[in-house]
Amino acid sequence: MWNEVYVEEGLKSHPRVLKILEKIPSAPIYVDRYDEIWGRSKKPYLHKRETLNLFLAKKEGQLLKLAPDAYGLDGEAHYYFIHAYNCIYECQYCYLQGYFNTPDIVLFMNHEDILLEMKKTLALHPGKKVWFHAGEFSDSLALSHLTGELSLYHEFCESHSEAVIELRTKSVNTKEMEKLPPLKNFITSFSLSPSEMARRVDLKTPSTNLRLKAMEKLHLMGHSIAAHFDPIIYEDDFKKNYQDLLESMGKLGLTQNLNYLSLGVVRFTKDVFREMERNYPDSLIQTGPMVKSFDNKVRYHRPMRMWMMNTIKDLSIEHGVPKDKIYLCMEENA
Amino acid sequence: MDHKPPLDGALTKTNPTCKVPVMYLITMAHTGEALALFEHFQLSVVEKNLFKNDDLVLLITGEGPFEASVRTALTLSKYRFSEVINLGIAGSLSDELKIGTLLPIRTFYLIQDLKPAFKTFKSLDQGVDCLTSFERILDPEKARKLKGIAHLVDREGWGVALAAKEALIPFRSYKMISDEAGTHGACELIKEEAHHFSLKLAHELSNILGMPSLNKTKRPTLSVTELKGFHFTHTTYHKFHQLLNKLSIKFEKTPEEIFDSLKVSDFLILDVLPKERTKLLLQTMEEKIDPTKKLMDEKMKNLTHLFQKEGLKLIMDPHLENLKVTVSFEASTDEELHKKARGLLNLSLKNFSDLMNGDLHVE
Repeated sequence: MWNEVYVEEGLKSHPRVLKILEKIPSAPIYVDRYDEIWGRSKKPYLHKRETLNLFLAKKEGQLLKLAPDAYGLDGEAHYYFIHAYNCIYECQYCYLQGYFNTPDIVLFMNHEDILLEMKKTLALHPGKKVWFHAGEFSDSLALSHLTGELSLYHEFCESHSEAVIELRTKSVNTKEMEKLPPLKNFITSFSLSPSEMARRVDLKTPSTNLRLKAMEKLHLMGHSIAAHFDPIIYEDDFKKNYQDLLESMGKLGLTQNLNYLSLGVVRFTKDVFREMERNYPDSLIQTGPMVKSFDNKVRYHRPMRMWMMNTIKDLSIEHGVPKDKIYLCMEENA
Repeated sequence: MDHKPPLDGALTKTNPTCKVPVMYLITMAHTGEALALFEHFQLSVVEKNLFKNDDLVLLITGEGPFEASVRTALTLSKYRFSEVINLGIAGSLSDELKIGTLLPIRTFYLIQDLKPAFKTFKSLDQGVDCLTSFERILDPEKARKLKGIAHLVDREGWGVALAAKEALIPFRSYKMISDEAGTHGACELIKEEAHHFSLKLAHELSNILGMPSLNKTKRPTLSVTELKGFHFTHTTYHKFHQLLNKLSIKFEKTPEEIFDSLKVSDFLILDVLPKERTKLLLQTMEEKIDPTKKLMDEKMKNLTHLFQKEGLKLIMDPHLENLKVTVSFEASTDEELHKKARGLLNLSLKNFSDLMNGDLHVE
């Protein structure tokens, strides 16, 4: 899977690093700092298919970031934490393809520093619920068998009931989650698209059916689950396709038990859109009527995205998702 | 591309069908690598480090990205080239690559003091990656650190690519693995084997020159220049192909299948001018791409019409993002002013805000 594995000298004997290296056959290359190599050259995004490198590093600087407006449920504080850069999957709309200069993956090892930062942040919002989202720059579960940090964050939620941690994923790698007792404030959220759309645009990811099965498994074990219909991409049969998806979710008892469902229509920064055009010139996404919207992002025009979101919102309610659990992500005046 | 006229007429070769000059600039770092090319391609000396025959110019760039870049740029300004091909030996950073193999290069990286530089250059769509180093990589530890960046290391490729890209001339590169970078005695080995590598490179270059660049893998498109009963301007022709491509992607069908599904014969029975017929065909294609378009256009047209009837002009955001509209009118007397103001009272923006909030009712 990995072309080469780079490890920071200072982490050479870090127990978490040693555990990861046990699972990787090739010998690591030691460097002073990961960014001596990582991101210094413009490495084409699709080279990840043949030469994906792994970096084990210590995250310096900001460990938590305030989430943008309309990121999560209203009226609560939302932060995301940075425990990794880049992803093993290849979703055609992914903003990571234009965000970093390289698709190589960095796994940060100093989770204790992130937890300390979370603790400090809770103190800034006394008595209030504070959300910490993982998965902004990587998939939260895809490599969790390798990284082994989930139990640390789980422990944190166990001892801090006002904290909510969201692990956002497209993975079905739930093994590590299955080892942990369920907690209300430790939520695994799955990004879902209708099967056919996932086949066309979520490259190298588990199918929608497999994601639903993983979701069901966690739900039956009592774990908290949520879903993201994000990004919603236009296709002529989108209504029927989301109806089918919601029916499948309903049959598995998922719709009524979601902690929340977020809806967001596909959107890009100008740079990511250009990068997507380069990387996936035959992508279905490019056939839609995209315009530069209110925040300079490239999106479908407003009537279309409002129509799609309202249609899917109504369908979700019809299929048993409580209305107050649905929020529209990254949309103005929605 | 605006090429300068050739300074040396003997160096251009004319393709009988398209009259585009076909001449290659071949760059190699060392004379040693190039020795067999002189005889194989019957090259004659132009000046120091520059050789030619009727089809190609061979430049010996020397070692180092800056040297290679400057010499390539100077040569590019002297003649008219269709392509730059960098050829030569390179050290392998991977133990999986076999010495003596010729490999196409995908991307060139540059390292200075063992740190990668930001700019990278694409060579071919597929192949291995090569990094150009300012220094010879003779230390195994140094070589090891670079393994994650590229498969091969050379001394000139990035510089040649820089000059070619700046001159907007297509560039590709092929490298023959001469040694394992960072192994002791690599330089001696290369010297000993120089003649052997040179012979192989000369032979491979013959094959490469007969080979089209792998980058020219464009999606096949259908030509409609001779579609009877239709009139395509340059713009509508371009639009037609763009829509055909989009439909082909959307429905996962070939452009030919999409074209068949358009039922062009149905348009031919319409009693309209060829230009109008073309417009209708394009409209139909647009509606297949975005079925909401027709409905939205109609809704906006109706709304605009209602305002027009009262002598008012309604201006909406053409990108359909802004929830605000501009209403304007002209008046020259109080009577006219009051009449138009009264007219405003009969109008509503409800349909507009409904539309902007997604009231499309598309089935």
